[in-house]
Amino acid sequence: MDTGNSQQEQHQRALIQRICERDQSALELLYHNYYPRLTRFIGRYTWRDELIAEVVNDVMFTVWEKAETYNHQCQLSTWIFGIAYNKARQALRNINQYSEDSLEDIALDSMLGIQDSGLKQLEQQDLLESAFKVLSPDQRAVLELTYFQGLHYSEIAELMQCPENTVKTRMHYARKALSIELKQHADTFLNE
Amino acid sequence: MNDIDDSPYSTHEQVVFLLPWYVNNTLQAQELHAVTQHLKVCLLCKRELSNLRQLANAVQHSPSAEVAAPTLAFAQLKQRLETPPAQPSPEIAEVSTLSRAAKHRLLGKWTAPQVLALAASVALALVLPRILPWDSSWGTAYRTLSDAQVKPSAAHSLRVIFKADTAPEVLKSLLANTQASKVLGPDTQAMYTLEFNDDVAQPIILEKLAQLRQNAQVVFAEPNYGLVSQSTVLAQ
Repeated sequence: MDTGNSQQEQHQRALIQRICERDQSALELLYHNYYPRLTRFIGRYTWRDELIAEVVNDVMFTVWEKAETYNHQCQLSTWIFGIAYNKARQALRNINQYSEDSLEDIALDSMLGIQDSGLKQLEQQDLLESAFKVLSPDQRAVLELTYFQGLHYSEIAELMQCPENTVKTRMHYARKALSIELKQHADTFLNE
Repeated sequence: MNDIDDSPYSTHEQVVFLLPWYVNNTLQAQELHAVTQHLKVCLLCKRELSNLRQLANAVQHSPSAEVAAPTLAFAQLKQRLETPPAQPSPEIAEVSTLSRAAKHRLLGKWTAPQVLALAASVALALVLPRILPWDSSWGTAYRTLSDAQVKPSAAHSLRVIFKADTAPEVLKSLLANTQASKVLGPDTQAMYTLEFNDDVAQPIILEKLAQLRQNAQVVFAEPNYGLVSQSTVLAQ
């Protein structure tokens, strides 16, 4: 992502200014700039390829409509990914595929001290890929925003509009769920 | 962001939750210092760090979905931008603001013909009152308390019930004090109907009414309200 890249951020903010002035060519530039990252994020969040194109266009349509409401208090990318998160979440709700993971919001304090054996069995990419399916959309979002988009947890909390500890908790549960899933795969493989 | 204890031995529970962002190099200076110091002394966190690095590597190399080229996708968005927004009627606009999920909840159990029938009924209910002729002189066959008219004489008339044990002389005195003439009573409910002359002002009548209500021998005192009959209304 563009953290630390002030030149790119300034360029994108100039694009937003032009979008406020209803310049469609500026929107097209911003669209091309964000298209790979948005398709990636929405695809990983929803785990449904057929939703990606529609949600990306919903996001950029909202950027076009709401550009004047961007207050420059956060990075532009955080603002746009926040819209993407909400649109993707809404899309999943609309097809009745999404349910909140109540475990995710358990207070961080109640979980301290929990450790596990880790991801030692991680050897094959496709194994992990299948393991990702067991995660909730919000857990996948935290993983994706951390390791693919490179965001700090405070930025993720701002984007997902939740407390910072919730982000940490989601990451922790994602790690545990992946560990358990991969261990089961490994046990099955060894018993065959 | 939370402050972190400087001691490398007392920060394990905080550091273990920061490790994912140590791996992606986004921790701020104080957090980074605490994690770095703790990793020097904690084997558990070192092992977790190794696992998280593998996880980060796996996420970064996980495939993205194959999607349409951005040029093609943007063409669809541009078409949407250039489509003038529809101007729905207020009733339709209100419905269209429902989310797709809400629509599903509301209409999910209805078949298409049922939905159409419901829509037609609502449309008729909205349209019929506007197209059918209506003459207010027709009146209505029914009257309720809410649209009742008060008898013209009611403003100068009271109804009063006294306690059964009221002595005749006390009763006579009370009636005399009202300065109204007794028109009727006592009827079968022991009710007296009193009527004031037309030149008695309304405040005086209300004051007399208040005096009656304050008297211990009076159990009921109200203006002589009553409904005007339908024939009276139509004749006016």
